[in-house]
Amino acid sequence: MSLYKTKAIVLKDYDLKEQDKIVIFYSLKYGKIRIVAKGGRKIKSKFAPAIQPPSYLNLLVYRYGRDDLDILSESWIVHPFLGIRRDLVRFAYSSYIAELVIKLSAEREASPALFYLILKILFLMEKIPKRDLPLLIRSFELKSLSILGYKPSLENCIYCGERVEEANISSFGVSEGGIICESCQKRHKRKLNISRETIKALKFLLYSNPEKSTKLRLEEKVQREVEKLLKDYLLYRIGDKMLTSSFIDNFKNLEEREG
Amino acid sequence: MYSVKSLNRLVGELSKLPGIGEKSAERIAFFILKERKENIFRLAEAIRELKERVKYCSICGNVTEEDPCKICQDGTRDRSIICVVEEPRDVFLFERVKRFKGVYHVLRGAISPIKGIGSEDINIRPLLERVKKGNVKEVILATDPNAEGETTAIYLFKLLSSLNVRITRLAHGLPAGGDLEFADELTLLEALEGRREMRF
Ligand SMILES: [Zn+2]
Ligand SMILES: [Zn+2]
Repeated sequence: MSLYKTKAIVLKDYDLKEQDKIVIFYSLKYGKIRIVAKGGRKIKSKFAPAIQPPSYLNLLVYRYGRDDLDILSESWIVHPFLGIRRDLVRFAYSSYIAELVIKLSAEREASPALFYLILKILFLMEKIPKRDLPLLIRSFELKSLSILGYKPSLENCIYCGERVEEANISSFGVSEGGIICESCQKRHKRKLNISRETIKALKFLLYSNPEKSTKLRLEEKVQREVEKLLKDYLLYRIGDKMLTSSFIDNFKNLEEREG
Repeated sequence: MYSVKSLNRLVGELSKLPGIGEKSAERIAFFILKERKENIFRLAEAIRELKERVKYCSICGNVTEEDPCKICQDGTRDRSIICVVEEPRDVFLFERVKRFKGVYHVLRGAISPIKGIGSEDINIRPLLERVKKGNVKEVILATDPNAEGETTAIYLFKLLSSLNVRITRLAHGLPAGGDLEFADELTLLEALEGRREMRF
């Protein structure tokens, strides 16, 4: 048995037998990990206040071996993200981030870059105006995909490898993961599905920091195209529908109705 | 490997139960194998009866053998106060405390985006209907004090706040987190008596 300490973000928790919980964290040292919080369902459990998503914690964990689940020994709350948890729309967005990380990342593969990106996104999510949240998410999608090795090719044609001027880009191959130049597009009979503004926006979101991305002002049409393209690309990468996306819309509708 | 088909089948079924792993399932299966027939048939009958007779109350959504349930039928209960809980087991908890004289509404779940459980997947719509009918003065949101329970409470608050009803939330007197199921009676009593107006 060994003990390790790490910073971690709570992604998801579910009930285990009796009073225990399994918590999925994204940790600084070990990437995505599953840990048993014994008694985590009890109302007076020492872990219960900490293991609420998307809290940012310090963990002390027992590790028994490859074939056993790690057991939580101690947890300290660094930041509980109450501003997210007490707001339906923000909470739905943070759940989307958590689902994306769970579905995209591999178990026990550390990526400090991804860890700090999630953290940064959550801190912004807690305080920026709600109308900027969609761009924050688009920024996270592109950056996390890149960190995990699925960076879409936005400069060079995915078929011929030639550098393509924005004016000559005509489509984006979801399964190929990048732009397709005009001549390749014709040769491979691909649909025209992307505008020059969308490519520009994608590049901006990919290479700027998230704060800057949220200040980007896009035409409604471009924003929708960016969203659709990333949604298709993610669906292809994950091979699974995102459960959380419908909640964002539902909760937004509820708040708008309420006024 | 030596195996008996019907034994394997039982072990398979048992290990689907909460808190029962492969090993315990085997132990129970062998116990059943050795135990007298009458005893085991009685157990099987009890399980069958539960599934055949118990249904959900058409008013409050709690588990019951008669519809409406005993609590909804009881003329001495104050129908102007509805206590909203996540699970039928929470009703048992509140009833054990004996202080609450209102009626219940059982959601049979909590909203959780990451688990894909939305408002349509739990028993919310009938609650809205109950409140809209009028005569309800107070709705106590007694969902669990964890992230899912809080999300559900906020959702219900937004949904109900346009209606003319007082909305309160259990006071916890304890840090957030955990399931009500594991609260002791005193904690629950304090939470009920210290309930506060919900505000956003
Ligand atoms: Zn090309
Ligand atoms: Zn009833």
